[in-house]
Amino acid sequence: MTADRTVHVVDDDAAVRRSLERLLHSASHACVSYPTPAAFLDAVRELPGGCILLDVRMPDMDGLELQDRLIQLGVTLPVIVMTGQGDVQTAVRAMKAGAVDFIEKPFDDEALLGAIEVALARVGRPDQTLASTEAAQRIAALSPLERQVLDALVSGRSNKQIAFDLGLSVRTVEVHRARMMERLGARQLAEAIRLAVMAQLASGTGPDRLGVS
Amino acid sequence: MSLTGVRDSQELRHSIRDLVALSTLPAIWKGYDPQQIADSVAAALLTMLGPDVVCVSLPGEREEAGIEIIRTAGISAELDNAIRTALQGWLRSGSSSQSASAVPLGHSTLNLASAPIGFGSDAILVVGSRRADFPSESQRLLLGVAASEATIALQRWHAEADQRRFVALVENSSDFIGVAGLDGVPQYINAAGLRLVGLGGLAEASRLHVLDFLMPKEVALVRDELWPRVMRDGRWVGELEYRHFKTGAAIPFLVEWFRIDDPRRGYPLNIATVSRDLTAQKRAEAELLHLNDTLEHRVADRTSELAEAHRKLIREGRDRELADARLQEMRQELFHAARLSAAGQTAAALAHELNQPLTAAANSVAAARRLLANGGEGIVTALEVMGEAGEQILRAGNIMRQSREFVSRGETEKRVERVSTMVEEARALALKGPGAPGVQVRLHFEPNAPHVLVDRIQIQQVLFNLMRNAIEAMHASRRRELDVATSLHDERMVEIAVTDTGPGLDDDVAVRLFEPFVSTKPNGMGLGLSICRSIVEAHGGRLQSEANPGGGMSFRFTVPSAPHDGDNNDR
Repeated sequence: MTADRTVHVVDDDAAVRRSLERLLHSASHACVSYPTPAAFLDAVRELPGGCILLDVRMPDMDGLELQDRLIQLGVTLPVIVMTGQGDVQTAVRAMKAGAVDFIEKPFDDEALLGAIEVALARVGRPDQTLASTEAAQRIAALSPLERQVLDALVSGRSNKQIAFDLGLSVRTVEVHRARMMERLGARQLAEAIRLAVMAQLASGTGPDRLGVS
Repeated sequence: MSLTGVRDSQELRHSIRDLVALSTLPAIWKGYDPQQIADSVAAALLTMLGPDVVCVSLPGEREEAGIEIIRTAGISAELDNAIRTALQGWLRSGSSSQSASAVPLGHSTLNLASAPIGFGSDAILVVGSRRADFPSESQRLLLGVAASEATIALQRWHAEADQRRFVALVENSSDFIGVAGLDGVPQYINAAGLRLVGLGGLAEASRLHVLDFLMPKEVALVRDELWPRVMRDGRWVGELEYRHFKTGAAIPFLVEWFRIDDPRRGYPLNIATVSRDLTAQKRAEAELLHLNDTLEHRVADRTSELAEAHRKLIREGRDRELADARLQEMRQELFHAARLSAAGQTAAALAHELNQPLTAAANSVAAARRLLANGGEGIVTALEVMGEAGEQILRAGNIMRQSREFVSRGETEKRVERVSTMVEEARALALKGPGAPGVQVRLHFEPNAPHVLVDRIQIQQVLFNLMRNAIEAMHASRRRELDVATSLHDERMVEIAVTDTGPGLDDDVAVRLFEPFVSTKPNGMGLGLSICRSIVEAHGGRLQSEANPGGGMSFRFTVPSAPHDGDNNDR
């Protein structure tokens, strides 16, 4: 079932593609890389399985557009989105568009490989019910203020903006943000955002393709 | 003989009768005025002496009109006229000084007898008759007595005139006027005084004591202090409350008490008072006071209403100011965000550019580590992979270098710009932000450096930034003056200085001022000055700050000057 474990990398940067191949091979993953979304779309119909590792920032067509196209084509392979640092909004949109996970460049190899493991385990099981329910439970455990801070972060607001919106000091927002992360068991903001987005999916909001622009 | 005797005795009887009659006249004349006295004398003599005419002439004294009474009896109107004319002629002729005289009266003669009235005055009493035996001795005597009586009566009347005037004055005065004995018993109180204290008459008053006229609370003061003082000093003036005998009500009086001494011997005779009822005045004063109070109250009420309205206005004004400030702040943030977005986009692009090689390098290093860990032929691959990682790290370095060159060498659009226009535009923008009202802005442009070669947008960002910083720094300052001045730094560079009167900067901040993310503002990003410095340095200039000797900060930067007549694209 090697084909099932193939990671399809879509990135316009040759060095990144190459390094990912190296890394994935070293971790015993099959890996095929594509320099453009178009090249990937050409090949996607014949893909037997595996997961997709997608850079959001590419010329001609970005990762989010590609996600849309894949959904239109009925491709159900799980998608992991690679975003730039702090590009929360894009990550959220990717998640809403059905990505199983997102990962910020540059990333720790363990994080990448972990995400891929999760994604591959989900092949053929595109519903995210289990993880979503768990995320919803964790989110529900937050205090109202922690929830507000999380929601604001998900909508891409900075600490400073959140402080202004909620009439709090930046310091207070930082405190609530730290507690929120702790309760969610998230070490990085990306994790917290992923949980928030998944919880939203669990609540029936569903993939939000309108968020893509 | 006997007939003469009878006649003599009869005449004597008549004379005595007339004398007695005359002696009663003064009693009748009591209260008579001069006119009435003259009439009465004339009538009496006409009866007693049986003459044809009696005349009383009393010349007027001072402004008074004179009195001249001519009475005739038992004669024809024609004769009456003749007599009057003759008599008046005689009076005017000045012959009246003679005690007896005669004036011609047609075919007969009018014999006259006269007696002066008073002493040395022109007043005269004249009696005339056509009878040859007029006047007899007794007639002359009676005339003299009548004149004397009239003199006394008239003099008394004149003497009493002053007294009457005073009495009238006192009686008609609306003031309380009274005289008491030294024992304090009232001897006289005028009508107004009696009325004011509610007494029916003087008789009632004379049973009282001066102290009875006072309100009880005043008694001790008057008895122990004021009365003795009047006795000693002769006078006291002050306010006291009298008592109304019927109602018991207090009547405020302005009281003047004085001692009346015997004019010749000097010992005190009486204590008198002239006291003015102050009720009306007090009432008026009270009313005035009340009016004043009311007015004051109304003024106070109105004032507090106005103050409240004013406070409300101020509150509303403050609310509006806050709203305005908030709006301005938001506008400012938007502007700030917009201004930074270009830089932000550049930074994001740069971050992405750097992320790629860093991601690749990190992946490669991770792959190499795994290969090395696995051992075997993987080691060869690991070496290659490490090489790739190194390449990517170098690539990142190259991106950094290129971006620095991008900023410093600049793809910026440099044009010849007019300094004053740039500064004024930037000022207009900066003054639209919060905290600007009340800031006095002074611009000074060096006439020999009107143009600079700059990217206008960038340099205006610098100007805007420095001006906003200055305005914000002065928000709590009493003096809020913003100076922007240009000068020739050297032949190549123009210096623009932005100076404020704010509190200045702490030394530790001043040292790190141009580092990114150093800010003295609660919401500052700390990028403004570092971006400003980058922009200025990209123009080949320098941005420096210094504390003013007079307080506040001065930010000076230099930009290349341009030829005065240089066209826009000339370098």
